[in-house]
Amino acid sequence: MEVRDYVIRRILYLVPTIFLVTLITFGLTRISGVPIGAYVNVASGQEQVEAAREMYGLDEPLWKQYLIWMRGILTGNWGWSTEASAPVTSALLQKAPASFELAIAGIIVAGIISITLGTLAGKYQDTWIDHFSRALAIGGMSTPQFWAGLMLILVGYVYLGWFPLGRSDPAIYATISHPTGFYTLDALLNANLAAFWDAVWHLFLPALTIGYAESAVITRHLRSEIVEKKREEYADAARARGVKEGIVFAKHIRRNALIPTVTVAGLSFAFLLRGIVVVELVFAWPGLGRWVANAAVAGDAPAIMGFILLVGVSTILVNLGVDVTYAYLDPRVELGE
Amino acid sequence: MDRVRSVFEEMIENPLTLIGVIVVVSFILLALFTPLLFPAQGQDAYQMPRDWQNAEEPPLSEGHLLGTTQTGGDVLYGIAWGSRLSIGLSIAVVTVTAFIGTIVGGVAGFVGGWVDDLLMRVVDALIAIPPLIFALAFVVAVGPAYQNIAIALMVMMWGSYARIIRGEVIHVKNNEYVDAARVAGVSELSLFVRDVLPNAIPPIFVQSTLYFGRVVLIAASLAFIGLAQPGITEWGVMISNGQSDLVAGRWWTSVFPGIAIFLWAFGWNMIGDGLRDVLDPRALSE
Repeated sequence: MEVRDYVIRRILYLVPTIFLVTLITFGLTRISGVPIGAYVNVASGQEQVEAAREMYGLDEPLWKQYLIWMRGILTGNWGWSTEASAPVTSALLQKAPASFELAIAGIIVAGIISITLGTLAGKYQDTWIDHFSRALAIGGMSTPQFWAGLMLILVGYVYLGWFPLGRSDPAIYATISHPTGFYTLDALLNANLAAFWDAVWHLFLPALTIGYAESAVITRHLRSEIVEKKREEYADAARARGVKEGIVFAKHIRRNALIPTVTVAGLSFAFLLRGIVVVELVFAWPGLGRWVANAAVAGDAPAIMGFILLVGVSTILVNLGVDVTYAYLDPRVELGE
Repeated sequence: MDRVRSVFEEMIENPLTLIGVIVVVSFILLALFTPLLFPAQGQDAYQMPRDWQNAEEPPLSEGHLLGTTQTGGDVLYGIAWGSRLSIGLSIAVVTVTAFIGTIVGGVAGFVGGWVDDLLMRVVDALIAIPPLIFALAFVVAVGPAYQNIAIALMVMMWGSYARIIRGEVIHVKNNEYVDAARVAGVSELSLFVRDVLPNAIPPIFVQSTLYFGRVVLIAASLAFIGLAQPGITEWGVMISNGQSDLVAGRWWTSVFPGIAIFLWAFGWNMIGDGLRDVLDPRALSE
């Protein structure tokens, strides 16, 4: 199959898949048997209950309710989040930068850990370095992230007092303007180094928690790729030309092993989002994850449905992007699935 | 049986995999013998006991090897009864998701055509929503309880199985012996059940070993957030209750249950990793 046909088919698949995600989300709002609960809470008066019943057509048949709900989603009416005291759409937009900044920092940490560990393990295959790297990587995959976060707080904040909680020092926060909502970027735009270090300092422990967990799959993948690439003909050809083993490794083996590994890193996007929910909660990080975790305990259904929809659709788009990139990068991929 | 034995022997040649096997077997023994070793206290054995006289005891104090909580619950008692919850959850979720995934993936791969297209789009949609986040919404809709977390994971996590089985079935059904059987007049159903499916099964063992660890991690995260019954002996709930102790220097109420979760997941992941190496040395990722 041509790459172009494959890409077109994958894009066509988006339609039913996204439709199913909206159906699942809608199903979740109706599963409790009393859908009205998704729109009002104990504090709501009789008129509000009636108004919601009217507005969302809760006396209508299910398919009609779905259409009414879908119209709301498409026109930007995602409901009201009691947890944020704001419409769901504006809460999502307002809290997204904090989460994305943490996620990007987490990916950087994961990249540093996994490229180091994966390269060493692949280079020194079947030695104690390889075993140690395997144990460390699988340890990251097996550690509950909320607990790892608590342990880092115990050591870094409670005992050593080196690291702060939250996202910034309020006094420093007040000294700069915030055009992007990414505190590190804002500090740089303000040319304020103290604010930049403050932002990085606050990012460090939560990013380490997410990044270590995230690094496991990438480490293992990179190791396998290196082990395989070591045996490829081009590596032998370079050796035969008299290229030094160190250069063969850096220029031929590792570089070629990194390409497929980057796509694996892209695929663990969903995993990253899972981490954000618990890690933000533990570190009092004011992003999407903490909002959703608190919303869950408070029974704030619209907040969670909005988050599910956002996560579901963005995961589908990221996976599409990864697969398409991969198809272009590596012509050997079987496109027929 | 010989095949199983040789796979197992090859697996435990790797010291790390052997450690995984030992850890997992220890947990299973602990869970089985908990009612004898730690007799039930109170009406519901899965509720942390309260004993105000012995609250906040540090580890290694008399009768409390791992210390006690703010309300005097013995941490070791909680971990032991919690192991039964975790094992029950893993077995239930892995069995149900493997079963649904095998049927759906098998049918999709074997029948092909629009049936395959339809079923795989459903799987795509399921895989797009992380189980933790789906379970979060599900539990909010039906009410916070450990059982509801389990149901949510069963509903959600069969997608990966379906994908794996589908790929295997497509691979197996193109073998010559399947064509030969078809020519010999064997019915399609019998072909599917007796020839194709059994040969497509092995990779789901790797997936299952990984799931044994993962479902407990996800459930513990949800319980930690506050979506299980308060005060039960679930490891995530215990860590959540121990949070305020941490700042006060009483580290043991959250450190030990965390180690329990870690060891359980680590043991299974080691087994899964070792099993993958043995079954398919070329397999690259999850």
